[in-house]
Amino acid sequence: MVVSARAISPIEHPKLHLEEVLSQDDVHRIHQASLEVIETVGVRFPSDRALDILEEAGATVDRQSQIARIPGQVVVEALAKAPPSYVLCARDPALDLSLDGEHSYLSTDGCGVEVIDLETGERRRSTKQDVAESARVADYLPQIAFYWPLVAAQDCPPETRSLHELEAAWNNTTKHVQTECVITAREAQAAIEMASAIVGGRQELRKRPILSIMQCTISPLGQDGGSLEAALVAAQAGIPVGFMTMASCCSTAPATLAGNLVVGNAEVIAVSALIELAYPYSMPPLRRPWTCTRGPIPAAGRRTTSLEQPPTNWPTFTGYHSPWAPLPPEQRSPIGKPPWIIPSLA
Amino acid sequence: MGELFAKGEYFLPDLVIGAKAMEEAMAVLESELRRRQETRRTYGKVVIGTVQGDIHEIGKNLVATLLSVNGFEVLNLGVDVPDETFIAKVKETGANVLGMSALLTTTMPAQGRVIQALEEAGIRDKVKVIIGGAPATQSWADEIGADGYSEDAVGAVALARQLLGVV
Repeated sequence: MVVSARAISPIEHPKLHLEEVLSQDDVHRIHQASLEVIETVGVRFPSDRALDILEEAGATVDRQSQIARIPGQVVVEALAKAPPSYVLCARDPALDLSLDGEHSYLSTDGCGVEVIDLETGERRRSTKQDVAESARVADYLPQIAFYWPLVAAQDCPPETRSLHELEAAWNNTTKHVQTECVITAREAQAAIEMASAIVGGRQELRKRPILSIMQCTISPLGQDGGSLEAALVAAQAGIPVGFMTMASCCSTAPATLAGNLVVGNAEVIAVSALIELAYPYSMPPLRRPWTCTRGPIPAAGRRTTSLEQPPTNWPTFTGYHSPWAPLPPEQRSPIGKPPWIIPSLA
Repeated sequence: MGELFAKGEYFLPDLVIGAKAMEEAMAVLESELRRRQETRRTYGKVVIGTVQGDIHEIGKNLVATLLSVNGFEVLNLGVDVPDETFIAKVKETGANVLGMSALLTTTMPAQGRVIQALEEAGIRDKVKVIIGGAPATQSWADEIGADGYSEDAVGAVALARQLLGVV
């Protein structure tokens, strides 16, 4: 294993503290309401494997609706098994990321669909080569701590596109790679094989997972079946998995900020509990609820920040997303998201 | 409200609330029209859905709602709609417009497949095809032979009106 003299430039000792945004009582109430929603309303898990695990742990499962109502205590006990801090490993150990609460890191965002060609200036659909080139740029920049495939490899078959994106990433960066495009068990198995081949086997991968996987929920209060299966496969192999809520005010979540928080939080901690029930002591890079708010970046940023306060000391993954920010056309990113960098708070 | 949304002055929640109010008002009005044995004149029939393998529906539902409250008769097929269902419903309803949504780059190809299937069924010239969804673009619409693309729900209404020659 080659250890370089390179280094990541993290944001050290982030100054934003929980009590500056929400009081301890606010956080407690949101957490309790989330547990109540999980226990009484339930969350949809469209996967027999997931439902089996939850039922065995004490959840009431309706097989027809695929909704599991999980006792709050089961959720709390499962989440307690998640490590409070851990390291996102890079192929180059000098670029490992310590999620210890004292460092924040920036990454690329992902899944853009168009690029402005550097050579021709043409605006066109993104390709695998664009993934490769953006990974190389991200690899060079010390401020970028880990890499999400920035755009989609649309010249590759949909069924294996996520794997092509990982190949292009790993061929061009030695930083930690995270993807949100692995959404089937089959893709997850293949991605794990690829990562194992790079680090020297399954056991080595378990010791130093150079890959982590993010999944999206189906708000309100639902999960995606393929993503659940992929997450369970990844967690079994020791790959960190995380979930981000898609709760959005007035469409997939309540209009109130508190209601929004509760719905998003319920989705994320319910599925994180599933992972810990299946594979205790797994390392989920928990992504707290965020709201996709149509509005200027500063407003969305403030709103997002207020949503990112964890009720415990779990590692937190967060992002500024304001994809429809009404910026003048000349300031809009070709991938439709003004900021191509999102912060990841640890 | 649509104009204010397009200008960036109204936000998505405003649009959702407005559309909901309009939907409820339309239900009252249509009930009264039925009582008087009158029918609402519409600009045309729209079949709309999210393509196979894709379960995202917020944007598609907004388009369906805005089309409905702007004078179109809308049949919303929901999400994860098989290619053949789009074809069957277009035939069955004699739709003037077919709208297809896809949020994922991996499901976008279905929009092209359905257009191809319309050709093979010999009904491509009977229906205007409009597409949308986060990864869709005008160039993608051109590439697959769609009649139009809009990046938002307000634009989709204008597009449908334009394609059907509604003044």
